[in-house]
Amino acid sequence: MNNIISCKNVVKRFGSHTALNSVNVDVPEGKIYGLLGPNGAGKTTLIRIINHITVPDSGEVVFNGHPLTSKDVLDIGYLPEERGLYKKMKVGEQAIYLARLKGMSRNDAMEELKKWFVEFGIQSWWNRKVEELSKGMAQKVQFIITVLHKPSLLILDEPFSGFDPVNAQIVRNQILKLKENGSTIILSTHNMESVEELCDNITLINKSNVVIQGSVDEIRREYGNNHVEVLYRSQSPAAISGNGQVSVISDEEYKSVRRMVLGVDGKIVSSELLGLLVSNNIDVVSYRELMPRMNDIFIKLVTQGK
Amino acid sequence: MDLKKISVIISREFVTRVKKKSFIITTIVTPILFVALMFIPSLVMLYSEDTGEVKKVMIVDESGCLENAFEGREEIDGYRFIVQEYFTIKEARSMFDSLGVYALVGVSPMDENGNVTAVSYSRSKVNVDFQRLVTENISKVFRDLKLSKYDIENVDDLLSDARYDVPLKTITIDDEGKDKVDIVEIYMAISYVATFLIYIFIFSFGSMVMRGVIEEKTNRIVEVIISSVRPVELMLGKIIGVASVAITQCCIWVVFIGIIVFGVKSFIGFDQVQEVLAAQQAAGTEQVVGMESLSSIQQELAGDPEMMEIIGMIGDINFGFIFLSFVLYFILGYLLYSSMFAAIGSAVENETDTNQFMMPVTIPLIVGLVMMMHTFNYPDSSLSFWGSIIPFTSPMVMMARVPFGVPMWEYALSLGLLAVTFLGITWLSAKIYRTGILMYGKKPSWKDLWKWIKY
Repeated sequence: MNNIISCKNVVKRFGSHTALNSVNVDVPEGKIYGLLGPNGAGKTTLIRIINHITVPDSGEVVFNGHPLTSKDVLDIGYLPEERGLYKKMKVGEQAIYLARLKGMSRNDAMEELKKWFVEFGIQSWWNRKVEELSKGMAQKVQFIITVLHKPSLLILDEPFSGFDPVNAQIVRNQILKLKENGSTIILSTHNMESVEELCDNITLINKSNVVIQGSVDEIRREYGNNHVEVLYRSQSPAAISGNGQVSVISDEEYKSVRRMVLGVDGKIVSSELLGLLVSNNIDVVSYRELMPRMNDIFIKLVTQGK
Repeated sequence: MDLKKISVIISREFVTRVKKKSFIITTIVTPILFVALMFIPSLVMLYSEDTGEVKKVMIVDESGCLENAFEGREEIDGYRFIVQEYFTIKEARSMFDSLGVYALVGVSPMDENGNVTAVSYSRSKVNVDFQRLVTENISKVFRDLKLSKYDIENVDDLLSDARYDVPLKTITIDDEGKDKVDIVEIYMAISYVATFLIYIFIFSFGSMVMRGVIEEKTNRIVEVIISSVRPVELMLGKIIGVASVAITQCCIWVVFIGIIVFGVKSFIGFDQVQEVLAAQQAAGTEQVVGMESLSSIQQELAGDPEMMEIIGMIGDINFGFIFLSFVLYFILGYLLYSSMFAAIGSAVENETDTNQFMMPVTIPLIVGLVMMMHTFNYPDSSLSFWGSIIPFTSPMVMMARVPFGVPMWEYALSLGLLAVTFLGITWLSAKIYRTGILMYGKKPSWKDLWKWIKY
């Protein structure tokens, strides 16, 4: 699979402070890539380097197979965390201005904007000044502006902040739709639920260094204890026999059923485990691997470093 | 540099500012105010004479010598002098209110040396002009009286002959070695006005750039923009955009003032002056006053040679060159200062934080203005020379010198240095700017700015 962007040994210093210490990141095309890390870890610096806003002191950034140049920013859409619009300017006029800076012609921008304004049902905002909009409304406009020029790479820094749940869902669906249409998305967020839900791969940066990198599923499995949760119907605790690799860690009443957590030695193979449960005559209601939340992994990794 | 993007930025900067109410209002009101300032004094004079607002001044003459002092010219500069000898000063003073006069001047009887003293009473404070008028006219009488006591032959002829003011005509020798009549006052006025305008323009449009930069930073739109264009492109786009606003405003003002001046002049009936001026310029500026081919209007005015001479001198001034210099020095000076203003704006988050950085930028501007006060009196002094060569003051000081005539090499050196400095400062400012616009939180110090330059 092609990487749309590869950062190789990227170093950036500000005076005596090292913001990025030899960071390697490969973002595969057509995926949603999570960029995680606590505040001040160096995420924004990395994002700015990918956006060609800042230039790394050493290392290389490769975009679609060639070294990143200022021309490539036309193919990138960037929604910064600290974002805003000209307050006194009208929404439509402003969107056209920013689209033209991304290299679109006035007519193309107009046409695309109309489509998006219809999609979001905000046609009536066109001639309103930004200062008349609420924060959430302005965020919607900003999202449209970011994706308007159909960039192949989208960088969204905290895209859900400021949205109510309904609008956050709309944006989430739009992001998935963009992915379907072939865009690659770099998502930087502190919202770990949306990381689990949306991201294929992640990089966690802490104190200027990459702490962990890989696919979300693998990471969660790697940090799990190979626990499985089984809900089953029974009056009394079930006994499992016949396999030395499985042990019962806990078993208690849970609402109208019982909840049992099993520990497995080695790799979990669900078909075998379920077979074992069935052979023990356990009336399974639900079965799931207990993977740690990204939230817990994040906290564990970040506090470990201290 | 992506010129297409810069032009998109320039047009936004231009259009949003030109559409603002404040722009439209200042554009319309300023020329009206300007013309009002030009004409109100003369209008006031014109109408105050017409309405017969003459202030009566009673001279109570206890010396008995002043009977003919004001003969034939009872009215001078808006005062009418009435000499009478029937009251004493004391009596007149006690009747002051019933006399209905502006002022009462009492002249004492002569002492043994032929000296008198004078005293003036009035309700409101008298001005210096009035004092000078009274002392001059009364003194003259007693000076003559004293001289006549010496029993000199033909004393009257002698006196009228001796009472003589030397009229001074100033002539400069131009580059071709020809004499050129000039009026220093006119040069001074042009020099003063042009320099002051440059100062105001640089200051107001420079801070307009600064406010624009701060606005983008506090709005947090700047990061979105610089993910599309380079910071230096955004900075230059803004500077040029605001400059085009300035030039547009300036052009509108010139046209407006032209129309209003023309209108007012024809209204008051000064239009002959205008026509003479035009005729003079058409006939070529070298020829001095009414020598040949007088038009009928010139003949009309020929009775007043002084007027004709002034008009000739105005025709001699190279307005084209002065205007060109004004435009050049305004644009280069503006570019130099506005890039510094942009750098300051990028470093702070609101206007109140700008103070500490504004000082070093405004000081050379103010120094330039103060130097100009000296320069338009002494355009060729060494202070004026250096002030007009050093780039930070040259836009103002050289502008003050230009109407008096400046050697070409000094002019070229000054412009060249200014251009080079502008490029250097813009380069430095751009470095501060590109880091500053992304810095939030802590208010930066000078040390921080220096660090940003080195990043």
